Amino acid sequence: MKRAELWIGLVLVAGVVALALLSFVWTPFNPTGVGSAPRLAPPGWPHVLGTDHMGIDTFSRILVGARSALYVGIIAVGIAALVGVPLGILAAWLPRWGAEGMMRAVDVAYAFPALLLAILLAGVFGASTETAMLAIGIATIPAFIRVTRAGALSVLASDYVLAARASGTPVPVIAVRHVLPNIAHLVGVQASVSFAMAILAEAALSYLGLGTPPTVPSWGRMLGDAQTYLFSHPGQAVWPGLAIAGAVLGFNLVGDGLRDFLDPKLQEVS
Amino acid sequence: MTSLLQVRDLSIAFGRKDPVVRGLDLDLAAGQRLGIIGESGSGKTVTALAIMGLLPDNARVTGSIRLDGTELVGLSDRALSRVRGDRMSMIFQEPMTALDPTMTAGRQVAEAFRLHRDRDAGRARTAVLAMLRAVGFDDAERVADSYPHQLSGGQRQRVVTAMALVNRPGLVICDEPTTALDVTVQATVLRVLDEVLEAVGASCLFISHDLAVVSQLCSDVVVMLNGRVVERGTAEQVFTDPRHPYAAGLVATARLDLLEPGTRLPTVADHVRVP
Amino acid sequence: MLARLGIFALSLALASVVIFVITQALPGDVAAVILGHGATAEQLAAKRAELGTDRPFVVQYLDWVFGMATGDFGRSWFSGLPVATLIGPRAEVTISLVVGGLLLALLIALPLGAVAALKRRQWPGFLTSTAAQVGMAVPAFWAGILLVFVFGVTLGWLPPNGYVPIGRDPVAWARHLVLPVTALGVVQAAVLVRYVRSAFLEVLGEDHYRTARSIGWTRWRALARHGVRNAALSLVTVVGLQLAAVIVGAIVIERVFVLPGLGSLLLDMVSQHDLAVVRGIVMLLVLAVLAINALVDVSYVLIDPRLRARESS
Repeated sequence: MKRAELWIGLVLVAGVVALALLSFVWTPFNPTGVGSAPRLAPPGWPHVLGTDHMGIDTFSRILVGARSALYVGIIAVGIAALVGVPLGILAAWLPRWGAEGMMRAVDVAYAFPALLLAILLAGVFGASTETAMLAIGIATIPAFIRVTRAGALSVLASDYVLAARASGTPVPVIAVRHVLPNIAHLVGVQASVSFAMAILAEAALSYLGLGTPPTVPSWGRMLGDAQTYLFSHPGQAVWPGLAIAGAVLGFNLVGDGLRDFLDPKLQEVS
Repeated sequence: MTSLLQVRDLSIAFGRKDPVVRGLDLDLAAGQRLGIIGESGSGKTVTALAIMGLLPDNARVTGSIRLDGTELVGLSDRALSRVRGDRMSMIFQEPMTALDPTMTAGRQVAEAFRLHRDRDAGRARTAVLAMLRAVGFDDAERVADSYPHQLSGGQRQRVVTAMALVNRPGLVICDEPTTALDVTVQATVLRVLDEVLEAVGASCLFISHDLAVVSQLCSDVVVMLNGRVVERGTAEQVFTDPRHPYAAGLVATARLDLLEPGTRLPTVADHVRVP
Repeated sequence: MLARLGIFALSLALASVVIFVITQALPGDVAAVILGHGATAEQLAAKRAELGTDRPFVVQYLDWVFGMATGDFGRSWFSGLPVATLIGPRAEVTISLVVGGLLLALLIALPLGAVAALKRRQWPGFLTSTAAQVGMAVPAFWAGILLVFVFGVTLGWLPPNGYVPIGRDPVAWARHLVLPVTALGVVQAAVLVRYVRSAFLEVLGEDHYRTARSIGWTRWRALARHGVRNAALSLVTVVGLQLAAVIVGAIVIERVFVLPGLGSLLLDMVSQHDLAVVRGIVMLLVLAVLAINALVDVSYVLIDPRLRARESS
């Protein structure tokens, strides 16, 4: 059962990646320029998913949208992991009061979800893909700190780390040689789950007009555009939503599946 | 002799694994007290839970369990719940965790009463206090208004006993009720149990690995090994003249008073190969 | 109890510093932002003096914080209206939405979580868990758009957008909230189901759950009577942590249903770069999240008698 979850997740994620890669070399129509195609055409041929209010092929936009979603996800999760993992190891290393203070700060950070931070930053710097990625990345750091610290604490308490410390191995060396390899799977699971959340956040921001700019196709903005024509052409609101849900489901399933696959202890007793 | 409890050809397995209890037969007359002896893993607790209908839903139970003529195997959870706590009840091994930590002791005993007897809160309170006095609490009011964490292990086990007996059930199943307690507390809990079982006139299925405890309370004994009954008889018979080598081993390890000073302590393995 | 209050105050202070730094220090000269490129040096200086931005940042920060403590959230940079006046009438919308969404989410998640836990080896449990997994992947605003299409446009049962204050017409208020609350609540419920399930699974393994069944509760009623009380501790924590997510969800949902709440105001002010108002709203939302989580901490003591004893001793 759990194995099936992982496989379905991997297939969905592979599908999104494939769509994104495909969009670099081929889209059935120009995904950005105004075409000569009829506007708001229903699904059919040659526009398999129809066209939007500008007469642009929806399927082409979905393909390129996958690129936007993955782009934001990779950068945001990258920022979060690059900052969060070292901080998490540090928090595990710090004396009690230091770690305590740091985790309190992490608690406060949970009051700033990605979207709120992104809205705040958009107000200051203006809306852009970069602002959105930065905000989602920063807001995701606490999750990585927590996971890393929990994992690092148990590694640091192990005998071989004690032995390494006793023999005078410098702290950064221990962190890279012993701690990182042993918490890699935890970070991997977190990355997958955070990726799903990043895609959701990016979609919401683009829908609000605070993420990916109008010139670049993104699933969230497509939904925003589709809502305008919901009364007359509801079909256009279906495809981008399915794409978002599929991608998010995929990354969530991979995260869950990996967790159970890598750490049998966490599996519930049957 | 009419049986209160009649178990025939009972087999229990979990999931697709091999059965942990096979072809078990038991008979218990009204008022009779039967001890079930065996080590952990012999299937005695699983048998008790099967009679109560408290096994997890991946358990497969076959055979027959009749309480006062009512077939219990195959009954729905709803139908069984009407029998549980009313005509049969159970006292568990771990008094420290057997009670809900968020409710007062009195309210938990009252729940058992109100479920089957009388929904009226006032009359339930009266019955609860009487029952708490019967299990040896002089300060029944204080105990009733206490939360479990405010009571000791022995006190909690007496509260559980009160829950089990407040409805005067015909059958009380005790699963190692004193194993987790101090020796001094054990004696009190056993005496209280003896008294209230007598007062209520309930039959008792008493599960233990401890022959000495069983002999204090029970008239009859069965010995279980690997999910089967290997020996049955009156307590006296089994203790003085065990026929199955495993039972003989258990008796030898329990009767250290018969030991010649200076000889090695006996083990069950001296008598039978325990797999 | 005092320690919890201290943590709350410290968290609030930390959050206010972060918000202030982002909105006041990062954008540079606010006066230049407001007046645009054509402004003269004198105009800029006058504007700075009017806004108080010619003072040191620390003084500005303290001025802002103490102002809020007395209910003065500052003034809009552009309209000059007090932020409190702008926020006031809109808070009702957002509160209705957040409270409604959270309640609906719990109302759905508790029974479904119970099914997922009790029937985990049978198809109802599998189905529930799967539905929750899929529900978690659905963006709330997409759910909102689909609801608008089905019930607002096609069937015409409910208004597809807009808001009526509860004081003016409670029935219209409720009718306008049904779809947004559903969109917010159902998606949030999917997230909660998993937590409820694991909290209940833990209870199912407890000895006292078995005791409750042994006195004659059925599986379901034992869970309802003893499970919920014992799972409450972890569930209250989860609800506290999810509150931030629900508030953020409400901001987006307000946009979907064109509701005049704090979220819409926030987004309008963001597009106008009126950071004085943005700052006030964000601070208010963060305050709500932190305050509720502090209350969650306090509620542990009410739920668990063991903690109560420790607290009073």
